[in-house]
Amino acid sequence: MFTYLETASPLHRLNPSMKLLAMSVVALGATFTFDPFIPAMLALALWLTAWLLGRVPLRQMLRWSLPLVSLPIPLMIFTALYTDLSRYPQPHILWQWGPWTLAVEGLWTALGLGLRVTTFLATSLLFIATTDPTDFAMSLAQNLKVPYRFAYGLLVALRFLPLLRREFDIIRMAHRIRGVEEERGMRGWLRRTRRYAVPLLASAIRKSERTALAMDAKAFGAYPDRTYYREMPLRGRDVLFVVAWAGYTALVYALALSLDLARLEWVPQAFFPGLGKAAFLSTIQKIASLMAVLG
Amino acid sequence: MPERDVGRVVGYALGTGLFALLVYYVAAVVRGPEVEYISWNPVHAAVLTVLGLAAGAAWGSRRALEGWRTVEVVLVANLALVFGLLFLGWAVVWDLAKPLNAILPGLRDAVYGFWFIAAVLGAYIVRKPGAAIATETLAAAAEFLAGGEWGLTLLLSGLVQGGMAELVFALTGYRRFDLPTLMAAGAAAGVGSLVVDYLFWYSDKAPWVLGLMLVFRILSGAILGGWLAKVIGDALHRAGALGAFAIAQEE
Repeated sequence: MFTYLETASPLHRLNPSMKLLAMSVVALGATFTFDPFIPAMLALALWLTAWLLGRVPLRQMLRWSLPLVSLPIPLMIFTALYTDLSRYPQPHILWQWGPWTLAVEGLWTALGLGLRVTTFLATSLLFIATTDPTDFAMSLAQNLKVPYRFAYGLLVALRFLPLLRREFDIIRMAHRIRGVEEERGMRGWLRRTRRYAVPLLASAIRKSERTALAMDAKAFGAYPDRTYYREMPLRGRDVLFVVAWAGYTALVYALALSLDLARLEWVPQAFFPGLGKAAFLSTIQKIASLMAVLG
Repeated sequence: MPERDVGRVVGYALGTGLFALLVYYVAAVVRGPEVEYISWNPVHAAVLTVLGLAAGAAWGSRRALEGWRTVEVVLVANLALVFGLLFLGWAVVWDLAKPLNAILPGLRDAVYGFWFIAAVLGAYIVRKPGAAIATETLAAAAEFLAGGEWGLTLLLSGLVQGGMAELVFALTGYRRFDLPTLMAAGAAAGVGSLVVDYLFWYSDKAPWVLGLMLVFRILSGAILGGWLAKVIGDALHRAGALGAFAIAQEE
């Protein structure tokens, strides 16, 4: 879906591990609330940052915005229909049929959850579009102290990706030349998958063996530490990037609290007495009265 | 198999799991009257315990990874990449299965188990401490890098699903890799997956819905995660592709 764009931008020059950390902070920030306001503000900022600071072309950003909006829809439908309404003293029910109940509370929660998915997707978009996979693997080993044999293993696997596609084509041609027909329909799809899966995996495994042998022959992994061709230093701007996102997330929370738009579920409410459900209920009340005026 | 590695995985897992439970018990029950906002909730107790178990298993298997051969590292990374991409494709099945929830909420989770197959297959082939957790976490990382729908939460899902599967293999001392063990590992990963999804998505759901989801995830994990991993692993073994790995030294 999202792919790395090989351009130069301030985001491209950041340390990948710190970028990942900053994105984790934002993603974590989106998980503490069931209200749409906070995730909407976070997703908007991510979108703008990827576009302006990441130099992703606007056309590409618009194309990638489609999954940002459409992928959360199934979760939203599920949430809207199965919210635990027994938690609310007087749910505002809009529609009821059999086991399904649609209430304002459920819809509002669904919108919040949907925007949470959008925020997660936007963090992926920003990270993937502006991070060279090789830099990322090197940074994992150098900055996050992932055992370097695994970081390199990941890199080897990423390099195999285009080969895998070619291998798939070869297997398909080999089948065709032997007169195996491409079947249609659900059953045909299932049989095809079975026919391709084992040769494809087997060839990936054989390639792993040969590569590992070559790596061993060059004494890869012989020492606990190693030196790197690409150094991934931590600079002031990397720290600034993390601090800026943490600060923005805190700011959004402060704004949401002052606007009564933060229904905090996971922060121990002992620290913030009077927050949470009361604010949520008053929001629902406002929406319901607005709907009554409109309807 | 060095006994120390086994002991470390099991010890850390049980230690952190029980510690998490104890902390929650103290906060919610012993200090109950003063801390009025935290009250004992069996769902939260279970969630914290499972998270503790998985985190402990992950931490405990870290050291064992250093003893791997290069060929095992590369194999696990490659398996993870292939399955990471398949996991990305499985999101389509997950979307198509959405109407199943109209029949019975949680029935959709019957297709969830395929997402644990990397953990079980990796452990089935390599048979070393850390295999389940490394394969599943790397597969989740590959899925995230390829643009998976659930973003960074995938990394936590992979870690907890892999950690729970790892715990099952550790409890057998990494000696048993028969069908019941593989199915138990898949089922355990199913429990772990629901815990993470509860934290991120489903904490608003009614308890009976969560219960149904748990049942379907356990069944699905055992079949699509455990049984299918054995089918694929055995097929690869028969094809002669696994000569360099522990699975070939079985007989």
